[in-house]
Parts: sequence; structure tokens; C-alpha cells
Amino acid sequence: MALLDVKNINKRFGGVVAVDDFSMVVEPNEIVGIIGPNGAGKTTIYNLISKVYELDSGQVYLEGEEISHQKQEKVAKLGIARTFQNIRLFQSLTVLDNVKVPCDYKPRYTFAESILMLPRRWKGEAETKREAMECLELVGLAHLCNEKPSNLPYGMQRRLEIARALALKPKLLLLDEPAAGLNPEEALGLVDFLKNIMKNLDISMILIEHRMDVIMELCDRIYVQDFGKTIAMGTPEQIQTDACVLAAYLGEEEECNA
Amino acid sequence: MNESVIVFTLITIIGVVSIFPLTGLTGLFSFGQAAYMAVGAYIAGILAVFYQMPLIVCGLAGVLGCGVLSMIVGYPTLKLRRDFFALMSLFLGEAIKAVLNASGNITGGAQGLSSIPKWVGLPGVIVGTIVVVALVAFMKYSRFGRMCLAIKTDELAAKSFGISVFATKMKVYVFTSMIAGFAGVLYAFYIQYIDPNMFGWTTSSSWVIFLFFGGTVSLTGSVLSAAILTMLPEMLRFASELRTVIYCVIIIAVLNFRPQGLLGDKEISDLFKWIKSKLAKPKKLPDKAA
Amino acid sequence: MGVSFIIQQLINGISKGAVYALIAVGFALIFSVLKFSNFAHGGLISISAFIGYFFAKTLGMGLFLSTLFAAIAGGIIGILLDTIGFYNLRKRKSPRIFYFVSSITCGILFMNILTILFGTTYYSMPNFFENPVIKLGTVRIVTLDAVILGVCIVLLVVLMIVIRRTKLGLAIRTVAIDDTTASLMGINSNTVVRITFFIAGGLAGVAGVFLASNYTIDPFLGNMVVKGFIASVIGGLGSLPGAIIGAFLLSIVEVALTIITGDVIAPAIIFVLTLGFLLIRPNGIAGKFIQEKA
Repeated sequence: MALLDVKNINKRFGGVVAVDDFSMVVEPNEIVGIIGPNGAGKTTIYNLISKVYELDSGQVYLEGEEISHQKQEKVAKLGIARTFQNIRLFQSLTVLDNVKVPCDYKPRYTFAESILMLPRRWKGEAETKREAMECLELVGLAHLCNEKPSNLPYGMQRRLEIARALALKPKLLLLDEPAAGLNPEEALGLVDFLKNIMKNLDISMILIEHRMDVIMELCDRIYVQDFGKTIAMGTPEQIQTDACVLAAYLGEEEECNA
Repeated sequence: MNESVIVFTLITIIGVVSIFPLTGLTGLFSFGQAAYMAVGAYIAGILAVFYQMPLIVCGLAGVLGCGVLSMIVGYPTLKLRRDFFALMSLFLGEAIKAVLNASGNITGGAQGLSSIPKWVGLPGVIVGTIVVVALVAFMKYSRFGRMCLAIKTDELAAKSFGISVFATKMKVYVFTSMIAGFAGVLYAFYIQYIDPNMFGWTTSSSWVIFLFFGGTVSLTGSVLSAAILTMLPEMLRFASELRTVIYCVIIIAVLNFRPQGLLGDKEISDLFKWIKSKLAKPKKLPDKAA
Repeated sequence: MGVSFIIQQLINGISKGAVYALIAVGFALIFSVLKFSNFAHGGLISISAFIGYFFAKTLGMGLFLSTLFAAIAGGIIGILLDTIGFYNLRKRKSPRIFYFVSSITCGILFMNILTILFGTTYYSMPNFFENPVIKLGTVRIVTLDAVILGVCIVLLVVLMIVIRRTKLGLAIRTVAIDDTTASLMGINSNTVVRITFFIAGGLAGVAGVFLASNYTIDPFLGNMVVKGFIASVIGGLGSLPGAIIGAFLLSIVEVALTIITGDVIAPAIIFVLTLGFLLIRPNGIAGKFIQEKA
């Protein structure tokens, strides 16, 4: 059974069709990429899957269960985590607290227990801290746990966002341009890191990216979007061969060797 | 220094600490929290004066009454956007004042409720203040404190990590209302006379001002600023309008020049940590490269 | 209840509505340009009321001139308000809620300064007209109400023309939509904001004088700004025509309530009604819903 099954979803804003009859399947332990020029509706697809927006029509299924009309927080609890195009870290919280937040919806202890400092609170906090530190160690930021996110360099903030998403223990991770603003060395590091995650965790990912080096390295399959429509879908090799036709969209990164 | 000045300061501290989780941590500005102080004071006072109930019953009824009212009021108002919520909180305060004024036969109306027994003295208020500050501090460092700060910073992102924003807001709102109610109970049994005008929007606003001045996210800052800004004018004997003008000027200055407030987000625990770190490591002279 | 009584009350309500409309529009103007609820508007109203009184009583000017000078004074103080209350917040790009807190604080500040200067003595405006009442058949219309209604209508029409048809109006609307882009298009958004405050202050000035003529003048007259707020909310925050409609609706409801239930319990009823309205139609009659993007 597919992990994520998106069937014919549509979204328009006034006269603009942002997502036009989009369908997608993500299998367990798979990385799927979405590429396309800016304005092609890629982030809107994320917003529809994670229920920031309501679907105009179509259905979304997670592990066979329909989530098309669930609330945003419910979908997160069911196992879909995401990062954001413009980093949306919680600036008033420390690095460690940022990563603790995804564990906080779990009723490890009640409100009354928290203000009365009852034992379940201590246990719950210890467990949350342990899980959060694990995620920070995965991205190599554990030593900065008491810093404020705004004090971190950009590349580290992006890693922190990923750590935070992983703390939700998701089945599906939606990454929105995780390599934006990274230099080539950092981008390589990101690729290795994500490959490691795929190896060690039981997780699938969807990746929106503009960097072709990152996408082609990581993805098992790629969807190409333009003006809300899917214009091609296939493995990296298939898409690259298509690159001649799509040279206008992929830009000059890929040479047309036909 | 007068005992009643100290008591009044402590009760104001409880008031400011009561809005700390709501306004400081969750970013929900409320200009009507003093209304809950009124509700707590009046329920407790009426039970004591007309029904001769013992202190425990009056106090509990006052606090729980606030809890119930806040659940009823919070349910619709917390769904509104933030500035509407702020506005409705202002109206709530005025609405409660109107109800208190209009139900003269139960509440004494505009003449107020008097001859409330003196069951609370300075020690009681001190203990009450410490307990309340402790409870709120514990809340700040728990998962609820984190969720509130997340909601304040970025509600959308908070939701995308599973946080039930409305449920969290409700819990905080009920909690803070009960604390304000507790302040009201203490006040009624100390001062022995209450009337609807004591709990209006100017009181609520001054709590917000103190919170801001101390540093919205700093509990220590709130306590200190409430203490300083209540005691100083008393000691210097400013007339109340001049005092209000000074409060306003302070806030405008803070907003213009130091919007994070006096202490920003530092707590007293940060001070201890800083002292500890200075004591632990003796300064090393840098190695000179050979 | 006779028909003439109802008509009289209606006219009373409409005249009140006109003043509320002035307040609401000044309020809505600031909301649409700066996206926050400016409660300092109340302070402006109070100050202008006193200034109007000064011109009317002490200098003996007529209604028209007093109002004009009060409006100009209101406009200048409006700019002053922006400088102390909001300019730095704009520079620092502070979160929106800070503007709200600043506005309430400035409002309280102005009203308390007035209290210190003028104490709690009651002042009232002199009588402006030889015939305080006009008689139309059995209906008696207070001259002041009629004049107020007329002036308000004229002012509102002029304002709408300025906003819709002039370059200045276009600049204001542009900054209201997106001030960064407006700046990139060569509009000095700071100047536009200042002008907007001047206009809002002017409207507050007129409203202050009119309110003062109907009630006694005291520093807390400005609390009437709450009516302007409710009217704006009903009409849809940020929408000027909506604010006007909301203001008239509010005044008629108020008049009806006063007849039916009396004054004391009114705040509680208004609370429940406003709450209900906000829940059913949070965007008001003409407001737009803006979806947050991720």
C-alpha cells in the first residue's frame, strides 16, 4: 500500500489555478522530488497535503486513511512533518526547545501535573529532552542547544528546521527547498545527511528543490510541475532525457545532449 | 512603609503574574483580566457576608467561579483574531462592571460590598504570592510554556507540529483567570470593601503595562516591574493621574527604545547561572605563541 | 408611542450615527493603512474637544470656525501621535500587537494629561444657534443635530472623493495594500502615513467638537472611540464605506436599546451582541478574508 496517495487535487485562488488536477503516489522508504519554475504551485501542494489550505476537490490518503478534510494539527499527529521555504523557527525558544515542541502535543503529563511538579511531569520532560537531543545530535547541533535560533548561521538554521521536523517522528517528511542558500559543500553535506536518514529511519520524503545536483542525487522519482500541472514524471534519468524538451524550465543547468 | 502598600503591591504582582502566561507567553493581549479579579472578589465576598460561609468555601468558590466563567467566555472569544480578542476582553470588563452595578440587591451595586470579614493578613498574601509565582514559573518551563511561546511566535507553524492551538489557549485562559480570581479573593478579605470601579479596564491595562515594562517573556521582570511601579509612586505620593501619565510615558519609552522590556527574556535563574559560570572557571591567561 | 416620537428618535439616532461615522472612518483609515486598531484616536477626540471649546468660548468663534481650527489642531496632534507612538515601531518592524498597545497607552496618556490640566470641572459648549430647535409639523429637530448631520455627510463625501479620485488617495490606498512595494514605486510611505494621521486627526477634531456640543466636555469624551471601533468592525475593518454603514447601524441599535432596556445594563448587551456578530461574520459586512500562506 502506498504511504501517501494524492488523487486529483485542485486549488484555485480567485482566478489563478495554483494546483491543477495533481496526483502523486509516495511509497514507503522513497524520496520523491517536485521541481518546476517558481509559481508552479509546488509549495501549494505541500500546503494542501499538510492541510494549511482546504482542497477545492480531490482526495489525499495517508496509509490508506483519508485525510482530505482533517485539520492541520491532526495531520501532523498522523505523521506528516514539514519544513518551510522561509525558515519558520520559533525565535522566542532556544534551539533545544524548538526541537522539543513537536513532542509537546503528546499528553505525557497534564496541565495540573505540570504546575504542581508531579512525578509524571519529570518523567515526561526527561523523555522529551532525550528525544529532542537525539534529533539535534543527528543534525550535529547538540552543542548549540541553548542558543537562540537567530544567532545561528543560515545553514545551521536550515538543519535545525529538519531536526525539528524529525522530532515529530514522522512517516512522511515534506522538505521545502532545504538546500536554498547553501554553498556547494553544504549542499553535498545535506545530500549525505538525507541519504543517511533514509537508511536509518523508516521514513519517506518529498523534496521541493531548485538545485538539480541535489534532486538528481537523492530522488527515486521526480514530478515536474508548471502552472499547477504535472508535465512529466519519472526517474531522474528519464527526467534528464526529457531535459531537452524542458530546457526552458530546467535552465542552463542541464546540457541538451540529444 | 505601610502594610497596606505592601499588600497592594503583592496583589498587583499576583495580577501581573496572572496575565503573564496569557499575554507574555501566548501573546493574547487582554485588557479585561481585572474583571476576573472582580468576579473572584464578589463571589467570595457575597458568600462570606450574606451566607456566612467559611474562608475555604468562599475562596474556592471565588476561584472556581472564575474558572467556569472563563470557560464560557473563552470558548467564543478565543476563536477570534488577536485584536478582536483584546477588544472583547475590554468589553468583558465593562460588561461585568455593568452587571455588578445593576444587580444592586445582591452585590450592593455602585455602593459596593462592605463589612467583608478580615480573614487575610500580610502573611497570607505573602504566601499566596509565592505560591502563584511558583505555579506560573513551573508552567513556563513545562511543555505548556513551550507550546504557548510557539503559538505566540508562529501559530501556523505550531499547528503543523501537532499543537492544538485552541485547546492550549483555553487552558491558559482558564488558568490565568483563576489566578486573577484568587487575587480578588485575597483583596476582598484584606481590604473588607469592594466596588465595581476598582476592577475596570484601567487596572487591567496597568497590569499589561507592568508586564511589558519588565519584559514580556520574563517572569522575574514582571514581578520586579510590578513591584517597582506600584511601590515607587506610593512612596513618592503621586496623585493617581500623574502616576498614570508616568506609567504611559514609561511604556511609550520602552516601546520606542527597548521593546523587549527591562529584562528581555532573562530570568533570575539566568543570573544564578551567570554567577556560577564566573565562579567556576578562573580566568586563564592566553598562551603566547612561542 | 407616537409616530413623531419615533421619527424624532430616529433623527437623533441618525445624527449620532453621523458623528460615529466620522469617528469610525478616522479609525478605519488608520486601520487600512497601518493594519492596527488605533485607540489613541480617542485621545485625539478629547483634545480636540477642549481645543474647540477654547476657540468657541474663549475666542468666541462660531461653530464653523471652531470646528475648522479644532480639525487642524487635531491633524497636527495626529502627526505628533505618530511620531511618539508609532514611528519607531515602523522603523523596527515591530510586531503588530505593539502598535495596539502603544495606541492604547497614548490614548490613556492624552486623556490623563487633560485631566491634570483641566481637572474634573464640567465645561460645556456655548449655544451656537439663535434657534436651537427647528419645528417641522409635530417633529422637533434640534438645529445642532441637523447641522452636524449635514457637515458629516459633506465631509464623508469629500473624503471618499479624495480617496477614490485623487493621486493622494491612490497613494494612501497603495501604501495600505503593500508599503514596501509602494516605496519601491517611488512613494514615500512615511509621508503618506503622516498625511493619513493628519486626516484622521482632522476627522477626530471635527468629531470632538460635535460630541462636545452634544455632551459635556470632559477628558474621557474620547472613550467614544469604542463606538467607532465597533462600527468599523461591523462594517469590516479597513473598509471606509463599511465603517459608515456600521456607524449608522450601531447608532440606531443604541437608540432602540435605550428605549427598550435603559442605560445601565447596555454595556453587557452590547458585549453579547458584538461577540455574536464577530463569531458569525468576523469580516464584517465589507471586509475581506486574508488567508495566511505557508
